[in-house]
Amino acid sequence: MSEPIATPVCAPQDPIGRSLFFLSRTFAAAGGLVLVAVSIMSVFSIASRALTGNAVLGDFELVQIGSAVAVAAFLPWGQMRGSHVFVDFFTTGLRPCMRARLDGLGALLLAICAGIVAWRMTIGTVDLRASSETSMLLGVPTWYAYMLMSPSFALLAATAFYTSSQKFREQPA
Amino acid sequence: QEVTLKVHHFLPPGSTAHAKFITPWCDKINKESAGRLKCQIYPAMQLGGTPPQLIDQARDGIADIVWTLPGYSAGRFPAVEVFELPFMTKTAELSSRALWEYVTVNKLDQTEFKDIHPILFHVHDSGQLHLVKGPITQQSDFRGLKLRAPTRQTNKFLAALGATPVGMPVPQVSEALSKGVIDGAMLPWEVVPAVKAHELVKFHSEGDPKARALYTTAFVFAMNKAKYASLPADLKQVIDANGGAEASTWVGKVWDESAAAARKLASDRGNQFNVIPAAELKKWEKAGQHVYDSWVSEVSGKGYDGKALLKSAQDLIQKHDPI
Amino acid sequence: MSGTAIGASFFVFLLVLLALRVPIAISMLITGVAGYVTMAGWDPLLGYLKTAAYGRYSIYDLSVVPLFLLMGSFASRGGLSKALFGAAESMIGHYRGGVAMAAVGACAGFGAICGSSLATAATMGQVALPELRRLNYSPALATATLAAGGTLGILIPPSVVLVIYAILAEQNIAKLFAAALIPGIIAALGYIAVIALHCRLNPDAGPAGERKSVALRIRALIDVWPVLAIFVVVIGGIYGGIFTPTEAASVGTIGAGVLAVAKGMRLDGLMESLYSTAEATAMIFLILLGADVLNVFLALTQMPAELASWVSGSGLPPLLVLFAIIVIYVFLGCVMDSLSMILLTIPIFFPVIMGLDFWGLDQSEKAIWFGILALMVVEVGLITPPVGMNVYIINSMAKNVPMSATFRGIVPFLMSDALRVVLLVFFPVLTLFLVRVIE
Ligand code: NA
Ligand code: NA
Repeated sequence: MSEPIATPVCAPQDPIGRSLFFLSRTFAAAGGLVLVAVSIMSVFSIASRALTGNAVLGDFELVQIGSAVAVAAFLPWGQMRGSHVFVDFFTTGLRPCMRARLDGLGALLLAICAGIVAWRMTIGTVDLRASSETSMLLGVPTWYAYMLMSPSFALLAATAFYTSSQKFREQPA
Repeated sequence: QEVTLKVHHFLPPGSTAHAKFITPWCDKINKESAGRLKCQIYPAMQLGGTPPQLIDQARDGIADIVWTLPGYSAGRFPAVEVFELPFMTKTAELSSRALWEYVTVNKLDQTEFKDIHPILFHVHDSGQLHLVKGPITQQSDFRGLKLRAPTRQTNKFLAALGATPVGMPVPQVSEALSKGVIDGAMLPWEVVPAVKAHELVKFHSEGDPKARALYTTAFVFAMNKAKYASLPADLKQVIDANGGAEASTWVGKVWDESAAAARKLASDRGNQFNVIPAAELKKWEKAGQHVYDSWVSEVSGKGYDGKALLKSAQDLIQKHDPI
Repeated sequence: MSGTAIGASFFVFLLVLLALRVPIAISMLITGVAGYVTMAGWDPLLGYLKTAAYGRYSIYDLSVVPLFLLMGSFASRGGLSKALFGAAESMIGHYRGGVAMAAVGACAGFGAICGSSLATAATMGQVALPELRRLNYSPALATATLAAGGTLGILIPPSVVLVIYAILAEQNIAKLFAAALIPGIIAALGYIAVIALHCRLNPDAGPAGERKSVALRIRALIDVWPVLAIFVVVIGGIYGGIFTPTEAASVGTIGAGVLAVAKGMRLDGLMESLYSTAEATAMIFLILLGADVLNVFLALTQMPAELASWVSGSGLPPLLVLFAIIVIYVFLGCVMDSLSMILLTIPIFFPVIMGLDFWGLDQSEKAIWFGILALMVVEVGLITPPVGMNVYIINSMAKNVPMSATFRGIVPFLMSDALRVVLLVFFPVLTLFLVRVIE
């Protein structure tokens, strides 16, 4: 279980782990900045609605698209930091290496699911591009959001696969 | 063999769409197929996703049948959007027949609806103005009013009339009305009870019933193509018999009837009603002329003959739903 | 096999995965995927997965979740948790048990601008634990107070769990926030009463602190004005209908961010806030995606609808059904976290409750009332053994206190929780009063 308060962060030592770590952190930072940008836009829209009677055109859509993209970008970082909720009540008696194997299994299942989602979202991107669907007021093509989200799921699959291989490699101390 | 169809839509079970259209429709095909066609209806997006994604769900077979608004997927069904321009329809019943014929004669089932199998199309009853502070009798009354606009086209139309259009999702409307964030909303009567608008506003300004409606919205009830193709000929026959011009007209009539019931709720509360005379509406039509022009140029940019489509829609409506 | 039988089998499969330490999000996702394929086949599933993530993550109301987390993170960097505790301590710290009561008050205050219990427990733990130790409070009272006080983070609006409930049950967020306020205040008062009683029975458990001068008190009170300002703008704005919850959260986030910068937050501090928000958000949204797939599968089996119609047709007394649900929550809460419990159970329990009559409430009031009850009960899970997240967090800061001592110290707080739940069941007006006022 993670806690939402910053704790010191150590990057893994091996090259693959390090690059995944910094890549996911870059995704998280980008997502966070999108989130901040969305809130600044909302505040601006409220102010303009109060002063001139006109909100920013399509402010609701911008929030929807921006936060969807931001939230997806957070996922790989959550995996790198191991921020999951799980029930450890029934397995506390197990030897640590058995528990590591179970954790490895969980991460592997996530890697598979995230990989499938990344694949399907890529297909979805192509479909939506062909159907030329856009947002209601601003006419932002919907496939833009899909295109920005599917790399996050691909990276989530990669980080989960990495965690899983690390867990399976853990030796009894 | 027995076939169970997954029917998916976005409204709760108490809605007109669920209770008065989809459920009776399902009962009817069940009876006419001697129990071989069955529906499992999933209301309120129970099968996941958001309302704009319903079209893709029908295409991809996530649901076998969906009921939705093509207008939710902006830019994807530009030709059918012509029915959402101001002053097109009059009654939902007759204009739904015109809409079906419009789609058929212009072969939209081979262009924008080619990925799905449309069973029927319909429109809702006339959009009206529901206002908190005072009635609208003439165009100058729009000045300074913040009004909720339901579609892309009405957004432009309200701006052209001098109001400040506010785009917001339907569930937000009652909150916004009660807190004075908006001064009114443009809605068909059918939706009014669902968002409690009759309790939150005092004034209902309706267009002259003998003139064209302020606006309407197009709906489609469509099936997954592969699912339809997989049915044996006699079951296809049952679906066909409950689709097309007659079925579209019937659904339009369901909306007209629910409008009358909703209107009664408002008048029972003692709300004030006024009729905007046809002569005044003519002026609004002029003010909104560029909404038509921009629609024509938009669809022309997408490879259609915009002028011809507009004329086709207007002629068909005049034929079936004359004034 | 009937749909209900398939639904029930996969539910067992889910419980097995959970027992095997598979993270809750992944257990739900895998169960949902496997069940979906069983009910509808691969092709619909592959089609659904094209749009599922965007469909879920682009819900307008959900965007308040990361914003409330970021706002809480900024607020704690801007020293607001410290200011709140300082003000409360200066007012009542000189009574017996007063500093612990001040910590509860500060938790309630921080809960008013933060959407998460864990963040509230962690933040207030960092601020208040050292002070409670310095004054020689009994270690178990100190840790138990903060673990229980942390639950106010969710009980007092704004609250992430309520947002999720609002979306699942299709209810208005503003009304739910209004409904949560009085029960949240009752919770805080209940905890304060527990501390007072505890210190009356064991006078050594909570020694009195120093009495502060009037000038110091005034200064401490002045320091909390930003909390008050953010709360008034955010919650007042939502209740008043001036803006949507998402807009309110945006205003609060930017306000708290500006304050944090004024208090010395620099680029590295901003990035740390973003990273910690990203981490907490990732955890929640992965669960949301898993729950979405699982719930679609459950809808396909028709199990929830059949269960609801079976219960409403069975003639069981509604209160008995309600108490059975509450007991299930307490048991689940022993091992699960609150958000997962809500996501897992509301699609099943909500139709059941809506099919029964309670005190003649109409459907929308019943939905709000049940939402607040569910919120209260799932939050108890944060402080019940064996898995109590808040207890873990506080204990990780107070290394010399055994976990068992904290759990023993929690017992009186749990009793006040139980009392409050009974109160809310029998007096729905406590929940619905403010909702009726804002309408
Ligand atoms: Na809170
Ligand atoms: Na627990």
